[in-house]
Amino acid sequence: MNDPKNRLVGFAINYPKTVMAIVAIITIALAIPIPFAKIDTDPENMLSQDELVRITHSRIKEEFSLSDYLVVGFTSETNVLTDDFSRRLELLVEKIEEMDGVVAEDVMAPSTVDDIYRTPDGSLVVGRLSDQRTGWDRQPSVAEKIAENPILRGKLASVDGRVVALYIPLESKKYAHEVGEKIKTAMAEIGGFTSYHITGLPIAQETFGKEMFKQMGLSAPLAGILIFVLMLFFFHKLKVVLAPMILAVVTIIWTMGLLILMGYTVHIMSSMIPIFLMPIAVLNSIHILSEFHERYQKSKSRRQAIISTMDTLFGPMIFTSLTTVVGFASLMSASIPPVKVFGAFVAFGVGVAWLLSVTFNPAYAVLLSKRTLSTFGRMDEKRSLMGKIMPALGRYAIRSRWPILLVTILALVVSVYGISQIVVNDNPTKWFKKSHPIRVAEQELGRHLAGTYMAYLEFDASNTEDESVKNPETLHYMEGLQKRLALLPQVGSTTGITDIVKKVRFELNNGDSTTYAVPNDANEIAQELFLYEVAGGDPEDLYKFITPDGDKAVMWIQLRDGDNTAVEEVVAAAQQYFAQYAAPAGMKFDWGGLTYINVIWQEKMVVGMRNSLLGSFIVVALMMVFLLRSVVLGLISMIPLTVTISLVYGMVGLTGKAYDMPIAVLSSLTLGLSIDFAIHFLKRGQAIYKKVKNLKLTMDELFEEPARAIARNIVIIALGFVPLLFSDLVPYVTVGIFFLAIMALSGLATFMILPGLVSFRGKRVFWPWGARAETWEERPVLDEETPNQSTKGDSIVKQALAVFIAASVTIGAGIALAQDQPAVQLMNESHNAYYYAGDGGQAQVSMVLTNKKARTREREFWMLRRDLADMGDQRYYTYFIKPADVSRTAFLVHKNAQGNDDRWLYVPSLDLVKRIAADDRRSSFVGSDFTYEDVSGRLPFLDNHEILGADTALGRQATKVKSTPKDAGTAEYQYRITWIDNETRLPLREDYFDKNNAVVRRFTIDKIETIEGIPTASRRTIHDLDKGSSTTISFTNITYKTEMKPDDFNERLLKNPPSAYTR
Amino acid sequence: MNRIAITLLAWAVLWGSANAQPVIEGFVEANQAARLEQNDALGDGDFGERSYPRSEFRAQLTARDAGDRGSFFLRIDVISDATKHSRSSIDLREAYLKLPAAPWLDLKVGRQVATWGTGDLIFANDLFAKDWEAFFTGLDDAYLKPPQDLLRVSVYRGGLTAEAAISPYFTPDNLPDGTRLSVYNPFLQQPVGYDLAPAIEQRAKTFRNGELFGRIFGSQGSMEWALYGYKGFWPTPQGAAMSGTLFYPRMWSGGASVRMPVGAFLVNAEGAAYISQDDADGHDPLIANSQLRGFVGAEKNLGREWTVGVQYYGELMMDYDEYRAGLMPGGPEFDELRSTLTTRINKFLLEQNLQLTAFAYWGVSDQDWHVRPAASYKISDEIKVTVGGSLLGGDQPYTMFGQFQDNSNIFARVRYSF
Repeated sequence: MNDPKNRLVGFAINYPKTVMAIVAIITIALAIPIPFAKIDTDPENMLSQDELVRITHSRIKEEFSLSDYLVVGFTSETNVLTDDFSRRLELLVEKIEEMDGVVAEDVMAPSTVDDIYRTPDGSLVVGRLSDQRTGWDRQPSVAEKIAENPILRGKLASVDGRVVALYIPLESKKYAHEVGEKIKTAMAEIGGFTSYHITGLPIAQETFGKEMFKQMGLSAPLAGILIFVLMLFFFHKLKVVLAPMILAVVTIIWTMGLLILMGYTVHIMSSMIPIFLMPIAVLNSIHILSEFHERYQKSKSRRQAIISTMDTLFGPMIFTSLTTVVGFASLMSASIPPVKVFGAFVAFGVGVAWLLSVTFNPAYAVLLSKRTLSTFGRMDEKRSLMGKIMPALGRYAIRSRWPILLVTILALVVSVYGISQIVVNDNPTKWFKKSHPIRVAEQELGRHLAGTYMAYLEFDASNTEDESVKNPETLHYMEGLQKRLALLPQVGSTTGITDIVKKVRFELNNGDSTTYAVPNDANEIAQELFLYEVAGGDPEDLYKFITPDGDKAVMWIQLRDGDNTAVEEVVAAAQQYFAQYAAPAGMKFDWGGLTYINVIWQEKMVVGMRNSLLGSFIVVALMMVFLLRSVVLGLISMIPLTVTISLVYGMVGLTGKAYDMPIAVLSSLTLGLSIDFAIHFLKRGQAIYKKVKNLKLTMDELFEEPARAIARNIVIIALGFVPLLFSDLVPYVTVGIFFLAIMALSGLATFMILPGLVSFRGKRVFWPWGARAETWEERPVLDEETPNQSTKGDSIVKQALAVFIAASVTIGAGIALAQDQPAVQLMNESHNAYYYAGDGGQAQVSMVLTNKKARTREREFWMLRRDLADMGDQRYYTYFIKPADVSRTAFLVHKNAQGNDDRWLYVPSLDLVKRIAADDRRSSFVGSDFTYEDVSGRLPFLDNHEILGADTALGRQATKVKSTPKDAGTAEYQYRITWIDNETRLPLREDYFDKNNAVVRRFTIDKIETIEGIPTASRRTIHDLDKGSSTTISFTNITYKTEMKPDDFNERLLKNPPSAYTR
Repeated sequence: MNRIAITLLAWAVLWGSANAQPVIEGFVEANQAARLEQNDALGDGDFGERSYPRSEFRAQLTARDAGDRGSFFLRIDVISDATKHSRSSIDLREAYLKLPAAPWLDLKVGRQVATWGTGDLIFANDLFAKDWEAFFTGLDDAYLKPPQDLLRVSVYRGGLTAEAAISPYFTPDNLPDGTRLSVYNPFLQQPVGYDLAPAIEQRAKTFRNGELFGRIFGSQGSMEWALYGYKGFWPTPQGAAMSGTLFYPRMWSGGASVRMPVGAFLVNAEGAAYISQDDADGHDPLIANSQLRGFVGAEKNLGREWTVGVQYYGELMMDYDEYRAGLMPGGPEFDELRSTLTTRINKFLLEQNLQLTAFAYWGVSDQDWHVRPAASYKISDEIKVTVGGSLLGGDQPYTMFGQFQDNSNIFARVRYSF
C-alpha cells in the first residue's frame, strides 16, 4: 500500500469529495489571473531583447531615424494619378499624418516627397513633388516626375502609373493594425478610393496576432465540442464523458493561469498551449474510460472496476506522460525565449493532466450514481464494428509481416529522400491564406511596385582612414553592390546616398546622361550634397541614408518577396560581393530590417528544434528500455515513432511545404504523442503475457480491449482537430493536419508493424531482463483457449488499407505554373474588363433561348456581383423572376480564383438552402447555351495564349488571340480564338474550334454601352453551331454602384432578395 | 377556417395601408397516383381507395409584395379531391410577414415553411414538421414540408447568424393514417386501414405544447457549420399509453452539422442527440429511448448534367438494454444502431427540360427500402409533366418503409404554371 499508485488512487477513491474540492479550489484560484493576461503578438519577440541582431536593428533604425513601414497601394485600370485622385490622396495623407503612431514627417506620398530638377536658367531646385516646377512651361504630371526620379521610380508609383503607393512609417509596430483600420475609415470618409491594398510586414504580423487570438477562441472550443461528441458516440453516457472534458478544461486553466500568474506574456507560441494540451489531456482519460467501460459490468462495483483499471493503466500512463513531458521540456534548451516558455508550460500541463487522470478520474467515477452506470458498458464490445475489425487487423499484421516490413522500409526510404528535400523557409505574410487581403495586397504591389518588404544594410566607416562614407571609393563600392543586388529578381529597388548624389550631379550637368554616375572627386560629392540642401532639400531626408557627421550610410533594399530564402539570397549575394571586391579598409557592414530579423530567428528555431528533437529521441529510447526492462523491446517500441516522424516530415519535404515556425514546433508534439500507442501496446502486452504465458494468446488479447482503446483514441483525437483545417491561418491548418497525421500514422504503425516485429523476435520477446524461466516460460495453448477465428474481417482490413494508400498518393498533387507573355497580359486585361468591370454591380438580365426549331424560351433574373480583387475571388447572386415555376429561386456563387467555386441554391417552396457540388463548370447555366464557365469566367492561366494578329469585330479594331487549354481535360474544345477590342479590351467575339478545326460554338458581344464610365457588353450571344441553338442575354438597369459588401453574399441574401428585385 | 379568416384579414389590413401592388402567380395541377396492387387492408369507399391513393386537382394561388419596410406572402391551395381524404378543400399553405426590424435583425411571422440542416431527404436536426403522406403518394417534393405557424427571429452579427423559431403549439409530422396508405398497428401486429389504425392522442393546441427551434451558423472558408437545438416533442407518436393510444412524448435535441467541398465531392455531416424527456433513462418500454442520430453524405458531379449522391444515416438507441428488457414478446425489435443508406442519381437532358432522377433509401439494419424514380419534362415554360413511382417494401411489416409494402404506387402530374 506504499507505492505512489496506491496512495494517489487510494486517496482519490476514499476521499472523492475532498479531491473534487481541492481541484475546484485550485482551478478557481488559477482562473482568476486569466482575464489579466498580457498579450504580445510581435514575432520580433521570438528573439530576446539583447539578441545582437535586434540591437543592431534598433541601432540602425535610431541612427537613420528609420521606421517600419505600412504600405498602402492603389490600383486602377488606367493612370491612377488623375488630378482629382491626387487631391483626394493629399487629403488622405494629411489625415494620416495626424494619426497617433505615425511618424508624420516621414510619410512618403506624392504630396510629401521631394522633386529634384533644374530651372531653365540652370539652377538646382529641390521642391515638393506635387508643387509646380518654377520656370517650366510644360508642367510634367506627378506620374512623370516619379518615373524620371530613380529614387522614387517603382517605389511610389509603377512606371505605367496604374499603381501608386504610400509608405507610412510607424513609431512602433504595435500601431500597425490600428493605423490600418483608421486609414480605411479615412478613405471611406473622403471617398473615391475603390481599389486599394494595405500591407507591409508590421501589419501582417500585428494582424496575424489579432486573428490568431480570434481563431484560438473559435478553434479550440470547436475542437473540444467535436471531441466531446465523438466520445459520446463511443461511450454513450453523457455524465461519464463529461469527466475527460472537465479534466481537459481544468488542465488548460491551471497551465494558462500559472503562466499568467508568473508574469509571462501570452505570446504567439503560448497562445497555442490550450490546443496542444486538449488532446494530451483527453488521451489518458480515454484509455481509462475504455478500460472502465469494459470492466464495470464484470464487477458491478465502481471501486473494484476503477482499482483494477488503474492497476492496468497506471504504469503505461506514467510513461506516456513522461515521454510527452520530455518531448516538450526539451524545448527549454532552445535559445528562443517564447519557445522555452511554451515547452516548459506544456510539459507542466502534461504533468497536471497525468495527476488529474489518476486522481480526478477515479474520484469522479466513484461519485457517479449506480443508476447512471447501470447500463454503462453493457454493449458487447466484441460485436461492435471496432471489435470485429481490430482482431482481424492483428491477425493480418502477423500473417503479412514480411510485406508490411517491406512496405515500411520502402516508406522510410522515400521519407528520408523527402526529408532531404525539406526547404527551411518562412514568411509571416504567408501565415495567411492566399485569399486574405494582406496576401492579395502583397502580391499585387509586389507585381507592380518594388515590393513591400524592406531590409537595411549599414556601411560603418567610423573605423576607416577618413571616418567618412562621403568619398568616391566608398560610393563606388556601394553603387557596385547596388548593381549586383539589382540582378536578383526579388530585389525591387535599392536606394542609398549614391542615388541622391547621382541625381543632383545629373541635374547640375543639364541632364547629360553620362554624368548620371558617382563622381570621382570627394570635393564634388561634398559640393553636390551641399547644393542639395541649399536648393531646398530637407537635410532630414539625407539623414535617412547617411548620418549627419557622415561616418555611416545605410542602403535601403526593397524586396518583392519576403520569404526568408529570398532574404538569405540577398545576404549571400552581398557576402559574395564583399568577398570578391575588397571594401575600403576598416569598413564594417551590418544588416537590419524585420525581414533580416526573421531570417535570424528562423535559423535559431530550426537548429534549436532539431537538437531538442534528437536529444529527446535518445532520452525517450532510454526510457523505453527502462520501462519495458528489455533492450530489444525498448528499441522495437521506437519503431512506430520513427516511422511516424519520418513519414510526416518526409511528406513535408515531398509536398514542398516550407519548414516554418509551426512545423518546427510540432516536432516535439510528434515525438511526445506518437510513442504513446506503442507504450500502451507493449507494456500491456507484457502484462498479459505474464498472465497467460503464451505469445499467441497475448496477441489475441491485445487486439481486444487495448486495441479498441487505442483505436478510439485515434479516431477521437484525429477527427477532433478537423475544425483546425478550416482556419484562415495557415499555422492552424498545419497543426490540424499534424494531429491527424500523427494519430493516424502512429496508430497504424503500432497496429501493423509492432505485431510483426514482436513475432519475429519470438517467444521470449516479452521477457524483461533477469526474467526467470519458471514465471515466464511459454506454455502450449489449450484447445478451449483458442478463440473462434473467422477471417471475415480481413477483407475489410485490406480495403481500408487500399483506401488509405490511395488517399496518401492523392495528397502529392502539384499545380502548373503560368507563363509570361504579351498574349497572357492581353487575355488577363480582357478577362478583367469583361468579368471584373468596376468592383461589382448589378443588372437585370433577360435571356432568350432559341432552339434549332426556332422555338424560344425566356428567363428573366437579376444579377448582383461584388469583386474581392481583380482577377481574384468574386461573389455572385442571381435572383429569378421568370419563368413562373422558378420565380424567387436564388443562386449564390463564391467564385474562388484558386480552386473550385462554392455554390448555393435557394428553393423557396421548401425554404431550403441547398449547396451544389461545384465542379460542373461545363454544365449549362439554367438550360441555356451559356455554361457556368461562361458566366463566371475561365481563368486565363488555364490556357496557353498566342497573338495571331489584328482584325475587326463589331466594327472595332481588335487583336486576335488563340488560346489552347494546357490540360485538354479542362475544356470540350480544342482551342478558341478571341477578338479582343483594342480600346476596351472586351472580348468582342470568341470562336471555339473542335479537332477538325471547325467552329462549333461562337460567342459575340452585340452591343457595348458606356455605363458610369465603364465600357459594358450589354448584349451577348452564344451560338451552338452543332446543336443549332443560341442564347442571347441582354442587360438593363445596369449599375456599377453597389453597397453590397462581399460578406453580404450569404444565406440572408439568398432568402431575402433586395426589395428592388421583387417588384 | 376562423383562424384563417382572421389571419387573412390581418394581413390585408396591414398591407392595404402600404399601398401594395402584389405579384400574383400560381399553378393548376392534376395529380393521379395508382397502386401497383389493390390493398385490401384499406376501407372500400365510393371512389376505389384500394387502388388509388391520390386523385385530385389542385390550384395554387400566391400573392406577394415586398417593400423596404418588409414583405408579405400569401399562398393558398384549392383542392378538388376525388378520394375525399384531404382535410379541407382550401389549404392555407403560407401567410407571413417578413420584417427587417434592424440591420442585424429579421423577423418572419405567420404560417410558413422552414427547413434547415444538410441532409438530402434525411433529417437529424431539422425538426420542423414533415408530410410523409404527401411524400409517399406522388405529390411534388415541395409538399414534404407542411407549413407551420411560427415566429422566426434571425440575428446577424459579424459572420454569425443566430435563429430562433417559436411555434405556439405543436405541429406533428403528417404520417399516413390508414386512409391513403395502410399502416402498421403495433398492437395488432399487422397493416391496417383507418378504422383499425391506432388512435393518436393529439397534443392540445396550447402554448404549453409549443415548440422552440434554434440554430447558430457560420462558415470558415468553404466550410459551413451550424449548431442546433430543439425543445418540443417527438415528431412521430413515439409513446404508447396503456389504453392503446399513441401520443407524442416530450423531446429535446441538440446537434451540429458541417458541409464543405472536399476535393471534387461536396460532403456533409450532421449529428444530433434526441433526449427523450419523458423517458430519460430508458426505463419506460412504452416511450422511445433517447437517441443519437447522424449522417454523412457526399455528392459529386459526374460530367455534364449528372449528379450522384450517397448518404449514410445512423440512429443509435441509448439504454438499449433497457429497451430489450421491455420488448413485447414476438413484437418488433429494432437494432441498437439502425443504419440507412440513400443514393440519388440526377440527370438533365434536352436543355435541362427533361429531368430524370432516382432517389433510394435502403434500411441496412431494418431490411426495408423505398425507391423514388421520377421523370419530369417541361413541354413549355408553363407546362410540366411528371411521372414517377413511390416504391416501398421490406422484410418486416413494422419498419418505416416495410409497413407500406402494399402501398407501392406510380403517379403522374401535369402542372400549368402562371
